[in-house]
Amino acid sequence: MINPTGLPDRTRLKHAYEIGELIPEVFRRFGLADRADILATMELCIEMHNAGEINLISLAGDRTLLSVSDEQHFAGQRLLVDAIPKLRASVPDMMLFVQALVEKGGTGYLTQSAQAAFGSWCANDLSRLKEVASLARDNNALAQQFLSVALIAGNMVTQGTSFAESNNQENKRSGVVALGRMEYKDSLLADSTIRTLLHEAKKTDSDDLLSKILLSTAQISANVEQANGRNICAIIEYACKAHGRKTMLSCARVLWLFHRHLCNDAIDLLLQALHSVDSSDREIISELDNALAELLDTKHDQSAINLVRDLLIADRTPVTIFDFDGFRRKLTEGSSKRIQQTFVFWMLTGKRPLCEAAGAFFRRTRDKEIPLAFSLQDIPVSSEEQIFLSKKTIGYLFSQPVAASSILVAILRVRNPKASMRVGNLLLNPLLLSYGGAVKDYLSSISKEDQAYAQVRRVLKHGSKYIKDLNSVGIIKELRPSERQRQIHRDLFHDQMRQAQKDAEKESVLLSLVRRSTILYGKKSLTYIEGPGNERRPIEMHLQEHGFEFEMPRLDLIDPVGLDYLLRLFRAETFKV
Amino acid sequence: MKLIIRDYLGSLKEREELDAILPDLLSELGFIVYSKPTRGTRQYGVDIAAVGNDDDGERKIFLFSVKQGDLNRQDWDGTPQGLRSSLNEIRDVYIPTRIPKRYRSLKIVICLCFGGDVQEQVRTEVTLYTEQNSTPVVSFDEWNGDRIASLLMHGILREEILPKDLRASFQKSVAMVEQPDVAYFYFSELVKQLCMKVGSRQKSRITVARQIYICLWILFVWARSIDNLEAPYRASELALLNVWHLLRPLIDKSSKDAKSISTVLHQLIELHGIVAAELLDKKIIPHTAKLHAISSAVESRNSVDINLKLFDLIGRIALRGIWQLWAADHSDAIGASDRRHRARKYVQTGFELILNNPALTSPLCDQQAIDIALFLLLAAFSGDAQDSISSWLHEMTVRLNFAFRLDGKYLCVFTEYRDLIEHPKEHTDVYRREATSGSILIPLIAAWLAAFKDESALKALVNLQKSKLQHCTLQLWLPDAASEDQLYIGERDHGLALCDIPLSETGEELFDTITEACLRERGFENLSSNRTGYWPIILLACRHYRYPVPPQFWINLLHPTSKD
Repeated sequence: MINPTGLPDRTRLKHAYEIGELIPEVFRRFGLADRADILATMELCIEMHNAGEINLISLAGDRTLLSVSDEQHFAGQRLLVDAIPKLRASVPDMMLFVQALVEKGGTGYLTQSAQAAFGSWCANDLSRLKEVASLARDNNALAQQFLSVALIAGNMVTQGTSFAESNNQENKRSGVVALGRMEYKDSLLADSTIRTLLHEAKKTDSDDLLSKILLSTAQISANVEQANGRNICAIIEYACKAHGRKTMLSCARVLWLFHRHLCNDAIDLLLQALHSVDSSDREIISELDNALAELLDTKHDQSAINLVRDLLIADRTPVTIFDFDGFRRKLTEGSSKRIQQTFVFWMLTGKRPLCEAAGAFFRRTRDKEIPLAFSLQDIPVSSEEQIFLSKKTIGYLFSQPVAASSILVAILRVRNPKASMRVGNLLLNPLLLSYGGAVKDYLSSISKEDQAYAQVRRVLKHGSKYIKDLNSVGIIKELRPSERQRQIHRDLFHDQMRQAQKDAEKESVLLSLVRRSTILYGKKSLTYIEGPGNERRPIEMHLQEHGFEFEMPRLDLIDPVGLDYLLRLFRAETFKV
Repeated sequence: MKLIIRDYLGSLKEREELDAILPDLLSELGFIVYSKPTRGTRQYGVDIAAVGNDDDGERKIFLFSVKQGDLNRQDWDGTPQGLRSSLNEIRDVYIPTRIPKRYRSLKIVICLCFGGDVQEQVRTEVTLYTEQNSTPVVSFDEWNGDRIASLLMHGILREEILPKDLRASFQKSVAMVEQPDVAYFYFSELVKQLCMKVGSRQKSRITVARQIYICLWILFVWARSIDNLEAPYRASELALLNVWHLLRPLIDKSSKDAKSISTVLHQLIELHGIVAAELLDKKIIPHTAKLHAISSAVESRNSVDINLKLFDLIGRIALRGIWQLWAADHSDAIGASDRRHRARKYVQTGFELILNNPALTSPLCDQQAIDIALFLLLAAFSGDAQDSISSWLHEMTVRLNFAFRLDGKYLCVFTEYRDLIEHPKEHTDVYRREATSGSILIPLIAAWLAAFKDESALKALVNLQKSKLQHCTLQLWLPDAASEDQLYIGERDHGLALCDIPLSETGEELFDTITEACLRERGFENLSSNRTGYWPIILLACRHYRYPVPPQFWINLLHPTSKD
């Protein structure tokens, strides 16, 4: 620590600089706790740098920066980044300094803020911008790295266009990237830029460049409301021809971030292009998920649903609906009519990935199950389709018996004489026979006015007789497992539960972050922790009980193989038109 | 000990139950029993008649009129079947007309026999009656529960032949009847020790057989009173098998004890039937037509328990039916028809049980082949069940295939309970090969499918064996020359495993292999129970000790041309 009793003065900072300790001290925030003190000290450092007493940016060249721990780095780099626009330095020195910070910062927020700081530094003196551009033209590798930042900082559209048209690929890329992030005074300039980008798109087959052209085009169209849609579509068409990985990623990103600024044709073209996406690419799928979730709020929702449908059944690396979790959540939380239609249509295809996905729409893992407000009134389905849909629903939603039952009841409400009896029978067996609690409660709640009432009554009557028959047997002691068998089962169950708990704890993110205390007695705990100034503070914690209950299907006990077989049969069945 | 016996006597529900043990008791006390209870024949008040020495040492005729439980006013004189009426009939008709000539010179003791006590309310009337009707030739004696218990204790269960340690086993067996495994263990100890005490004398074999019989009765009555017949059911199988083992040297011999031997054997067969009927006919069969009712009654949270119990039950039902078929062959025409009808009812009941408890189409443990074979035999023997047999076999094959292919609860060789409830413990090839290292069920099903011409199911089974079970040793078990001495007492060191049975889509090779093996190995034909016509004993041994059912029982049914 430089000064344990007060703020470090010029002498001490100078001394720290001379012995190579200044940068580590910056990252340690000079050992100060108060933010104002830290900022004041940093300002003093800037002043000393600009006065030539110390050289902050030269320090970045040594290895000290790389040896800083990650925790210290975040807070320390922020100080340095904020200082950049105020520092006096030559362009090459500053680029080296920022590069060092970027290398340490990786690809995240710190890197972006370092580059932005460099942009601000350049914007403070236009000669710096020109020097960066000039160096880049002379193929200075470092300058080429910072070219786009400099161009953006100076909003140098003409320079950017010039670089975009240049033959040097590095400079071309920087120019293209910069064009996407500039401010356009009018749509004419924007259109002209887009034409340039289209021209460049036609000339290249580089996936990297095409992806950047695509992204920049979308950014320009977002900046200028009346951008030429035709040229944008043309760029998308050219860019997507080769289905390059980066281009696909840009497509997904453009759809996600700029769909509101794109014309319908452009969106359709992007969606079309994304049908050929490599589904094993988690990054693209993740961006696409964001995009599709966004599109559900637009009139392109059906196209988004269809794209997911096509990707799920595409004969490539399998993806599941859980790879589109954002989309799934948005879909299930959105219009009930849309989700129901999707459920029905996907189930009726009989295709396993779609049926599994449709089943997942209504799957709950924690909450108590509640009946779905499902309706088939606006979805025309034939009697055969009703039976098929019932089987698929049971096959894929058996573990969600109330949801499954409410879909079957919705089918019964259609009152198709050819299907009702069979659907009712399916409601009875396996649903009601398996779940005598939740399903019975739900079915009993159906009122007389309900269209499904008659069938539901019939099902309940059979269910009651079934239970009555079971109860009529009474106790047959001879059938009970022996005490030894019960003990063995208890031991095994205990072992399995214990192992499951251990496995769950191993995978728990929460438990990996916190210190664990095991409370052996009592309903609440009291712990003293030490605060600032060695002050002890009592922390009292009331213990709560957490539990999760679910109904085990009776048939899984009585006939596990048969139930498994039946459900698999239902899942595998295909619909013959 | 006496308390147990006393309580047992008081708990006997039917008069016939007391009838059943008294002749043996009297025989062991040295009486000559010349008239035993029979149904349908008028005996003028006498249930049992015997000749023996009275307490005063004089040889007399003892005429027993038997009533159940305590003697109350109703039993004494409330109905035409009251004891007083029976005594009057004895005095008025039996004594003047029915006493065999050779005993007419003897004095007569009319014994008022009942499992309990004379209730105080009728004591005076009974005393007055016996005093008023006593003559120098005819006297009366009271054989109540306490006296019969004493006689049992000093007779058939006397300490010289049922020592303290054996009594302890027996008492523990009775005391633990609520825990059938424990009760069965002590009963089997008792039976084992009793059988070991048998000397070279024929008489001692008969005595031990009677002891086992009486002990089984007592165990049964106790178990019945607490409504748990599991222990006596298993004990009755064990008793019958051990008694067969004991008596088999004497069966079909023309010695003077042959009749006694036959009697005690038939008594045990009948008692086994009574226990089985009490369990199956009264408790299980009334519920077989209800969907999942029996499965649900297992009251377990583990599907394996249900599976094990159901297959055990189907085996018991099968044996009950098989005994009916056997009895039909030993009855007159009317009796035979009735027995065959009952056997068909058991077949029907069994298929109801299968239909309503679908776990019976998913065998988990290869050993369940024994119960399946027993029921298939019963169904085939009684006829008219071809469609049901075929459906059952077909469904079992579908599910076997399904479970194997999905690595679910597939058929395994394990017999230990823990192994079964954990199965499949792992989804590895090593485990799978261990779990399916051998099978008696697959060849059994294959043979029956071939016989029933279920080509699709047989093809599926053959494909399954080729694709998933190449390593599995398909086998059947045949008794050999050593089986006769070991089969009935549950020894394992005998028999022949017919291995690597070929499966094909016609089943011809399978049948040829089995036929050839059956012709080659004559152990089955030489089994005493087979030779003497008591063939259900073999099946009982298979069920009880878990031996596979020998193919000799079914090969000629399935493939008549293979008859030698």
